[in-house]
Amino acid sequence: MRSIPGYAEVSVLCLFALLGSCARSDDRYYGTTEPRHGPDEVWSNLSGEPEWIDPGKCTEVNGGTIIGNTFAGLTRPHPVTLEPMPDIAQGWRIEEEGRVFVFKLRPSQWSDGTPLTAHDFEFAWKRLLDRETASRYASFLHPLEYGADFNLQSLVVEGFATGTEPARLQQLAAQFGPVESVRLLRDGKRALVRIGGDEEQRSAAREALRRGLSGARLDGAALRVSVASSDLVGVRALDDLTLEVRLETPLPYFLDLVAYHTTMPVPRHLLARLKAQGVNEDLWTRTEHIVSNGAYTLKEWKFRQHMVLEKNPRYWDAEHVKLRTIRLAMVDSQNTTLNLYEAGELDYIGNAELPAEFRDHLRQFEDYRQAPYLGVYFFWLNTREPPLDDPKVRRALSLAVDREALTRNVTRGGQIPTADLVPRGLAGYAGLNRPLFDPVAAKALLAEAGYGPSRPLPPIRLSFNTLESHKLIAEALQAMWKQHLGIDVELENLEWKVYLKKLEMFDFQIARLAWIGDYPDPNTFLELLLKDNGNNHSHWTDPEFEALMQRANRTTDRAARLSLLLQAERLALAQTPLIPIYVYSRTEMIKPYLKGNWMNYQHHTFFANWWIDERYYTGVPGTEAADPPPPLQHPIDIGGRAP
Amino acid sequence: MTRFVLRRLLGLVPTLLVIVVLSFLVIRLAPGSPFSTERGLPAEVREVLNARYGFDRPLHEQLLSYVGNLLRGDLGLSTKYPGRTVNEIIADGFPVTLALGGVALCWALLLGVGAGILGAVRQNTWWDHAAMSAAMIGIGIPTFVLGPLLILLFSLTLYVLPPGGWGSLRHVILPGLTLGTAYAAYIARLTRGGMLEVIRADFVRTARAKGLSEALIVRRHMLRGGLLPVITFLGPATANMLVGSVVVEKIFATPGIGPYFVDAAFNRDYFLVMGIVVLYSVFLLLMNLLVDVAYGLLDPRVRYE
Repeated sequence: MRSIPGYAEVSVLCLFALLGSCARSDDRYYGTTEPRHGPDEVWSNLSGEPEWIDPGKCTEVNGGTIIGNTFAGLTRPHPVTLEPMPDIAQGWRIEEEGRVFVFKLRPSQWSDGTPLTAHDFEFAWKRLLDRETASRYASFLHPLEYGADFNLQSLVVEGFATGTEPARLQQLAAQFGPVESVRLLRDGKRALVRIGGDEEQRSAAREALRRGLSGARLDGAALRVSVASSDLVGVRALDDLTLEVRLETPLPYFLDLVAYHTTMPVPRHLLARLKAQGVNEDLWTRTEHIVSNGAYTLKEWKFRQHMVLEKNPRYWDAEHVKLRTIRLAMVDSQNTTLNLYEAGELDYIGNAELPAEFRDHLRQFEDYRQAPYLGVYFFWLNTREPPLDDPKVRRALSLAVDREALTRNVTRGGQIPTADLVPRGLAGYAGLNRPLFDPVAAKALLAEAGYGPSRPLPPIRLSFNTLESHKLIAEALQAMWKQHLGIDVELENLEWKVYLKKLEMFDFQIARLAWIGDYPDPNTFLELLLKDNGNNHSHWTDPEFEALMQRANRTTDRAARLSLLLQAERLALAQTPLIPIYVYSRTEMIKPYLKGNWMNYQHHTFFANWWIDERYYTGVPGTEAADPPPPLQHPIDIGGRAP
Repeated sequence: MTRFVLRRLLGLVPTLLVIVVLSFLVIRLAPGSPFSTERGLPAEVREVLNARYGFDRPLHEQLLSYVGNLLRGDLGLSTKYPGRTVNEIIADGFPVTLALGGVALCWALLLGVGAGILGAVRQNTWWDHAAMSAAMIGIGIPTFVLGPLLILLFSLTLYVLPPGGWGSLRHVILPGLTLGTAYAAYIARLTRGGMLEVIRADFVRTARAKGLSEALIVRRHMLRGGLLPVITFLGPATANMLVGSVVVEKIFATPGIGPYFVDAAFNRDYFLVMGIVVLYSVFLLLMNLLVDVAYGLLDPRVRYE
């Protein structure tokens, strides 16, 4: 969570604005341009203490940065285009029309010299899905066959006669408790019962179903019931260097998923050793224990002060890792980060962001840069709350937002105004390109819905969590809706955790939220609108949308799939369960001597590519050093199905 | 004296207990959970997490077990920084805040008492006016203005001190000065006021009549009485400086415990909130006790029953 800008932030800003610039070595750059350390290291920044640096548990950006640079997954994203390239997997084979992936691993080692095998991946993924791990990102691997069933503890029923219809089992089970679905396992001898009903009651429902079904008879046969175990999950090490993954349905973006830090391997041998020693498993990522397999290893971790990463000589691609040491401060204040950067105590602002009010000033310097970021800022509409239950009213509200004016005058950070949910250009997605602003059509729609001067829309409540930037946007919307539609909007400013509670309880009419994509595919945004997605806060569902999404993700042809997704997005946004406002942008400062750090859609940083232009030790050189991104690497051919 | 201290220490126990119970209940009353984020969490996972931290048990049971653990010195686990105990977090951050507060306190006393004595001894002279004007400015400039000004001067113009971070002596100077200056200003005014009260007292006149040197009179006789108001102020002020440097620690990215006062509550990091509250309460209560003891040592009129 971002901290709330307090007096400190505001005052630094005012003072600096008042006092202007001070002595610098080169006016083209902000602050010093001479590195304050040797050419073999870089000083960067995390925007705070990481919560977890355990691949299976990390949920935030700082932990992600550490894991992404100290661990290596099956694939890795290209530093600019984010296309998946081979990492620990040298090649792969796709079978059963995209439902099965077979990865061939290259021989490699953990940082302690232990060989890294496919079993480490199997262990890590099953651990992620294990409910006892209590990972908040377990749903990331729900696409694995029976992954969700293991994670959410579906019941496994056996003992019935072969050929029994799942529908009959469902009928039987429904006597004992709410059932979402019943389906046969691949062997046809067992069936999986997914628990239905209210989420809070699921535990009790599971217990009732388990008790009811065990010993119950179907066609004379007694049933046996157990809770789904990890053996079911569709990931298996065929041998030390071959990993087979079975998916529920074909997943065109699966190679992107296995590049993400959540799916990186976990050192099975270390966790087993700690367990034998009686050490709390959560402590395995501490410097005294941690073992990793990526470009860098964690050398020093001073809580809330800094981390030091050191080059891992055992990384398979160590010859392409340029710097020996990466030192990461943990400064959460944006202004302090900028001060440190100016004084040369940081070479790069890292995961921090620039103070919004400062960007206009910083834009003039050559060490400033910006790029779109894979996140969308939007407002959820509670589609069960009148008058928002009328799609016309919802569309009118969306059309009456002047997004360009908003990004130009209010947010002012290079954000891209959008009325679409999926940022255009994402993985070749054409984008809907819906009109950004049309007050005339908005008014007409509202009239169609039966509202006008004689019958004005009742006042609407717009909620947001306490943060100055959210407040400014909410106020802008309030003014726009008043001006263009004559609607009175009352603003509700809530503290973050209270706000989340209200969202969860659907206790709102319009509420702001943002979604940051996990992988560069339209699905990461569109799945928000699925019925069963816990993050769908609109109450909006549409069977046609569900069907289109399913069809799209079963389509292997890339272009056909994207066009189906586009249809799905068009269908959903025509009913406007949410009002998109803008696509995020990332603005940052980076010293001219730090090279090999390119911007990409997800702000993935790869320390392995970084290097220092040593000419800056003797002054600013006249020419820029050549700094081309590495070429896209392709998987090796691993041949057909193994005998 | 020993009996007095012991009795007072004993009296702290019920006070602390009330503080613990009240804050425990208040933080639990706040809506929201430590585990909620904008990304939804399935009930299955939430149950495991709640069970791990004991949040699934009835509130009174949790309170009892918390107090029990507290008596054994166990402050519980943080939910925001998993795998870290509150004891660890405080052990990491508190020395930093103490070091910062120590530097600030030394600076405040040095500057404040010095300026106060100067003002009192040279009452109504140019020296006095200058010292007291500076004190007024010191009180008037909040830390969130002074801090950035010092950064601008020493870090971004002269490049002599780092604008933030922690690790060496160089890092503590700017935040220390920032934090101490406002207190120095208060101390200067209090010292001057206290000194002026005794400057014409009989025992000072007697000392002069004995022919003692002016320096000795100030040190031996005037300061003892003159510093009483400062001592009163110093108790809570020290506690404040040591534990409450929220803004300064934010400006200078100092890894002390200051930010937890706000952030832990925002994050609903229940045990961390409690740990900080307990720490601060103990500190404040001890400081007040220390003030009372110091009174007895400095003021011959105070006697302990």
